[in-house]
Amino acid sequence: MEDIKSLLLKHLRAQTTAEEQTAIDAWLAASEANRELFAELNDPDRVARSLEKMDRLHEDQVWERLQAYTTGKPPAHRVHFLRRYGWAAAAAFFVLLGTGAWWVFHNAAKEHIAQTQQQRFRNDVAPGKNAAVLTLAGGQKIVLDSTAKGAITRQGNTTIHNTSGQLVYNALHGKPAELLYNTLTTGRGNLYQLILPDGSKVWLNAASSITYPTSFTGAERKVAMTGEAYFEIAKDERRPFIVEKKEMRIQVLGTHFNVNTYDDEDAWRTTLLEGSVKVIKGNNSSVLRPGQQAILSRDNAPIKVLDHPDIDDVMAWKNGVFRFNDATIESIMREMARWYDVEVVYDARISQHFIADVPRDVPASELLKLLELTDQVHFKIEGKKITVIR
Amino acid sequence: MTSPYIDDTTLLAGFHQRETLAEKQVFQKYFKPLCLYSETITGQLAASEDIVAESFEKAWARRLEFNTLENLKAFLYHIVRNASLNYTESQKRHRSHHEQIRYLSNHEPQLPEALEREILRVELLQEIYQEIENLPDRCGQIFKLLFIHHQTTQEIADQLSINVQTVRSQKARAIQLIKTELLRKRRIAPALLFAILLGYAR
Repeated sequence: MEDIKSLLLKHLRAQTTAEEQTAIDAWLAASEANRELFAELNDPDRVARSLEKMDRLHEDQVWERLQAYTTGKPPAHRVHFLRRYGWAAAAAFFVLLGTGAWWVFHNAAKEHIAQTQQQRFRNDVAPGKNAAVLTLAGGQKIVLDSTAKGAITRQGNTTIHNTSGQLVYNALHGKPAELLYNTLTTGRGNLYQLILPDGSKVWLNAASSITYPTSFTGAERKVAMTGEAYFEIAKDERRPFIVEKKEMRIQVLGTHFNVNTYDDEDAWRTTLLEGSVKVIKGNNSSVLRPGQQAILSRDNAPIKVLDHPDIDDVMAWKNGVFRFNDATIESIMREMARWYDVEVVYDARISQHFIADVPRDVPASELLKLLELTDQVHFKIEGKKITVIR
Repeated sequence: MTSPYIDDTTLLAGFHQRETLAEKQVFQKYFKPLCLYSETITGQLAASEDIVAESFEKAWARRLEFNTLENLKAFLYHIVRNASLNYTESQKRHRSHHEQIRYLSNHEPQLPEALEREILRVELLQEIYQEIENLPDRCGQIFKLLFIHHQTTQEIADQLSINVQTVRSQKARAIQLIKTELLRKRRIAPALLFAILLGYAR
């Protein structure tokens, strides 16, 4: 069976066998993005537009220019485009997409780095995993890892189930005698998901916690959090959902949003994806529309609203990737510290900014290797300590 | 033009050895799809052409570090992607770029699978382009002008220095073939449209 590219070409030439058509159908069924690509390829107008662009390219001229670059001689013809787009001198350096299957890039070591990368990356650090600690109303702690599976306990009228990476609360009928609060806590290097008694979903990032009642009675559904979490709240018009962190309150009806309240970051950020939330701090409040982000900084400044935050950057942690957009090495290392549960020490001041897009489920050395490709920074891993060097 | 390089391994070996023919083949293999890919990010073909040109220079500079052709291809796509995104970012600061934002939110090629799909897309478009380029002279030219450039009969006749009548009759033949298909099936799959027009042109 051929790869999808040859199959699609055969389809365009109307030469597929029944078996090949089945394979194409399977590929189409696999994702919306596949179906979109297929639709584009079968639309003569859209194809024509792309073909027209290719027709406008100056392949021969670029080839000559490339030849000239290799031999060091100036090109024979003057080409209309010669400006460089700020490559080497730019403040932002490019870190390349890290996908092991694609390629392993070998970089010649610089002389002033005394040890080779292999030596410096001894004692690599494994990426984070699904683990958390559940603290029940009475103070009892249950470690949630691969060994705690199935129904683990009951709190009042609520049963609690644990499957890999997910804790599920099921409130049974009847009002509980008293309001019981549980807390789910992730350490550094951990992730966990929680399904609250009303069906709302919460994804907890590393070094975070959420405190919530085991069943939602009363006029409000209120939870408290630290660290970072992404929420998908079940709609319930009678009972607004409230998220609290110290002096900040977020009021929601039914909606998807991300809350970042790490205290070592410069501000607490609430980013709304869908629905509607109201962010409240003291006398200040802001109602967010989808796509907006509310920023609460440490000082007494009023709530700031950002209209176009990079949603991909905000949701990167939940999507299993690191996304750094013009980020300082310090902010990159803060995220690494939380995910890999490492201590970071600085032996050098790195002023450059970085752009990177890397999966999270790789050992620490992978991300560090990629950052090192820019030649603007180097690292040493020693057990649970990463040292940033020039 | 037949290639002296029988497969990717020998092509890469030639590339490592700085053989001009190998370099050219590698360049021609990736240039157009890379430009098309970059343009979907930047929205500016000329800028993308520049970005891709410089990306090739970077690849050429580290030619020996690629162990397979796939490595080289991956390097090119990644470096083009980052440069295109960076260019778009710097453009964003001057004016709002609805197209780029819409593109980025619609396509999101940050995960390997999504990037592979983007590459699949541009490679397929290149194949289609190549097939049209390979059409025998007169038919191919007319087809290209009709289909890609949407030129009128008069424009085509002027451009090819042929009789307007000749263009008309060629066009009529194509339309006739399509109509027949349409009458029979009431709807024509674009793939079939391609096949008919390409088949007819041969």
